[in-house]
Amino acid sequence: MSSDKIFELNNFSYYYPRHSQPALNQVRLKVDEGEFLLLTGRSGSGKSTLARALCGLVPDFYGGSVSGDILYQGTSLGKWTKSQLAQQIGIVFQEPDSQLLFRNVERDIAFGLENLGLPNSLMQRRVAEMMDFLNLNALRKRDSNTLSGGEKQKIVLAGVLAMNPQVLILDEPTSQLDPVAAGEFLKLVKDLNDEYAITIILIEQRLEQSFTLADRVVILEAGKIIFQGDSREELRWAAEQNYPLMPVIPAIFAGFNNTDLPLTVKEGRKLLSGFALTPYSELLHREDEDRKPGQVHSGVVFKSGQNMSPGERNSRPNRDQGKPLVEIKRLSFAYPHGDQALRDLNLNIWPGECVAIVGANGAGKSTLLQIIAGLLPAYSGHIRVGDYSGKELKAEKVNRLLAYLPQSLDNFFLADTVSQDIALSSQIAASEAEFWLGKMNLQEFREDDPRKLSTGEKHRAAMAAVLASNPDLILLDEPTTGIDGEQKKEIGKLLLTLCQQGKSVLLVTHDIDFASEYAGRLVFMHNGTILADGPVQEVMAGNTFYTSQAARLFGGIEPGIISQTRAIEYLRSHFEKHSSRVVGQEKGLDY
Amino acid sequence: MEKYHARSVAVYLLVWFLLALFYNNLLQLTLMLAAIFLLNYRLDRLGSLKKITSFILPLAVLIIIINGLFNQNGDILLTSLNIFGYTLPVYREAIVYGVAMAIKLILILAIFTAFNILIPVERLMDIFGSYSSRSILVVAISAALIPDMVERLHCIRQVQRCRGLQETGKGLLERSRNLGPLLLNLLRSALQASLQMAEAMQARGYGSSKRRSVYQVEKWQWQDWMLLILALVVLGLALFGWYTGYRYHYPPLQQVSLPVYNWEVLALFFLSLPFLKGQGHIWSVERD
Repeated sequence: MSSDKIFELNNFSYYYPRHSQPALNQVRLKVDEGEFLLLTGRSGSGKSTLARALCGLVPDFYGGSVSGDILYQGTSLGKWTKSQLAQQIGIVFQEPDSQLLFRNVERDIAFGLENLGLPNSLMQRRVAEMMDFLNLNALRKRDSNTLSGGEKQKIVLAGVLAMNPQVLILDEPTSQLDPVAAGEFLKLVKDLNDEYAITIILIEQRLEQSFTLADRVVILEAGKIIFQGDSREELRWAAEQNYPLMPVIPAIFAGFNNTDLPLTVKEGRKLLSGFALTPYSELLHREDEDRKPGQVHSGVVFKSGQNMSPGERNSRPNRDQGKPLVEIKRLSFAYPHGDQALRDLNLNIWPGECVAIVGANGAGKSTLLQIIAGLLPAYSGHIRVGDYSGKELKAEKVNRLLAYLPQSLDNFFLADTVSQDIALSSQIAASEAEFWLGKMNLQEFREDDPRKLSTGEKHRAAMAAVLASNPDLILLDEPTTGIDGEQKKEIGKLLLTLCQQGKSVLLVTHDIDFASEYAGRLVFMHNGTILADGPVQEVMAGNTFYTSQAARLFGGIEPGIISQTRAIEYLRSHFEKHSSRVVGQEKGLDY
Repeated sequence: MEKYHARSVAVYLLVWFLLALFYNNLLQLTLMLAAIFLLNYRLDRLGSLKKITSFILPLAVLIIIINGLFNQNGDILLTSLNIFGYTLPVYREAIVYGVAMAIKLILILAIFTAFNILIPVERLMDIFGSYSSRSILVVAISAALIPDMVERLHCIRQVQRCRGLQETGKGLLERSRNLGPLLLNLLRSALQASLQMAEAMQARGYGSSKRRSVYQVEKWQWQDWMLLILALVVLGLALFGWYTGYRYHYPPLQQVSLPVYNWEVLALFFLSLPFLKGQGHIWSVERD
């Protein structure tokens, strides 16, 4: 049964029950033992289905039909017993809540071992070892319901690792985690690969942190593998094909047609040091007369809106015109079980603003959104949303003014089809529902059950449903979860258009690069309070971890550059000026 | 902390459940309800029970109304209602019976609440020891289903309130119309969560071999014998009382007082409560 290839997929195709289109189509893939494979692709491309196929859940749990074969260690997957597969191939799904079976942490870790029928003494040893390895001893007697997202995901990982698997499949394990917890989790996964030679198959949309870890990248599109190769090959391929799935750092360099594409911030900075960059202020010296007051932030001078990231254009709009749309003074909130979620919080949101709230899991971000949406009435302090305040601030009333998209969409959809659901919440005509289907690129899912869409598709369907009601204030809790880079751009642009129409957007996100690109203002929350609130550049300049890839790349070089768009614009301007200077010198012109 | 084996606790609560089904006497059910409320208070200060209040109370009121309006068995006429030209007599017996049935519903749900606190899924699986089968999976999922559905209903209502699709319409018809999709969504969502749980269990090898081992072996101790004997004596007395004719007849409403055996049964229940010392949801779960 031994083979150096741990997996071999030979023209493997899979159809979900009652589906005429294959979810996986003639997939051919080989995975080496001890390899770290990154599996990525657009939302709905079949990544999660492939993950489930590799551990035997597809078709065993889901039904449907297959053709072709999957070999595990040279033997067809079907010939392994379920017990062998469960022991050798561990899988961690996207949402830790659905995988934590027990409230007792220790028991949850031991669950898989019990199922394998291991002797009690061995189970005790494995659980203790795993708790020590993952530093979970402090959580031993905790109720799993009270743990943070990162802690829950570590418990799930511990339960899988305790079974001593040869292969670990991770299906977007960091999508619910803040950047710090996500980074910590991925480092741990890399250690498992390097130090314990566990084969890793990681499915990720957040490429920034995972791209450098992988030995090989595989891209799926509509159930087919369209690329496989190492990270640098993928960058070259993506740049040639203009394929949107590329981490921010190489995307910045690809954005101005540079052929040398760095993988990391370190490599990027090394490249920049060779460019002898002109400071932004000098670069735009000749255009000083066009500058407007109030457009100077952190040493960066803007010529006009065209050199800003989209979000920066709506920083501090309409602040001098009337009162804010949302006014919060000394807001505190404690949950009935005693956890103080918000403490003396002050925040104003003006019409036309796009404000992003960032911070660790448990900082109180989602609680704040729920209070503004009128869902948590037992707060202290003052809050006004439009004309609603005090007892008037109830979801039933305030929903005329605002739309709220929660983080979990399990309970969001009511209707049987996507188009019906869009029409349902906004009570709009079919033609208008059709407009939003087109706007969110959902036409092909018009008659589909929204609950059965992929995570990214669900988010787009829910966005369409809330935006169709034409609200003045849009509250979004993690709107980019499970959404690929291309769709993020579409959503970002849509939010900006809404802001330009005078609507306000307040979004909670772990996606700092999305925030840097599309938000005008950044609020950094910690432990129920706001530690920083201001234009995105100012807040990011003061952060180390809650800062964008572009800001890290240009830190100390051009501290005001915090978004991919601005970075590309800056580098383009630099090289255009540089090349025109060379041409000018050739023509004897003096600058 | 005193420790009880999951099996003894399960038998004890099973007797409660059987008696709740068995008795129809209003006073008897009220006293049992008081006892089970006391038990729930000791377990989590009624926290879990409060969560399902908004779900139980409307249902209880509905039972009383439906019984009062449509149950025509009775001697003592309280009033007559004229509905769409039809005269509906309302009898005292029907109202009392409706109240008893409403209390019975609350009582049964309170017993389930206590059961869920005392025997979470992991302990429930321990009860079945080393067997790993689909029926145990179904029992485990079902045990978590009611509290999960209540929590889920709350979440759905919150989200739908924001979407302007709450069930609080102007008239009864509109409210009922709005409630339909909401409940359907609840069912879908709960089934989806159960599927995800089943998938996660299969991924970790549940059901892959016939024999499971048990990580925390619970010890059967003297207090488990005491609890078991108490539960069986209570059940025996109740059955004896029922057999010797102390049954609640309907109609007519014969008595408000309780027969002597029922007093003994209830007294034993109350006596059992101090036995069950503990705190929080892990009450009596801590093991060596």
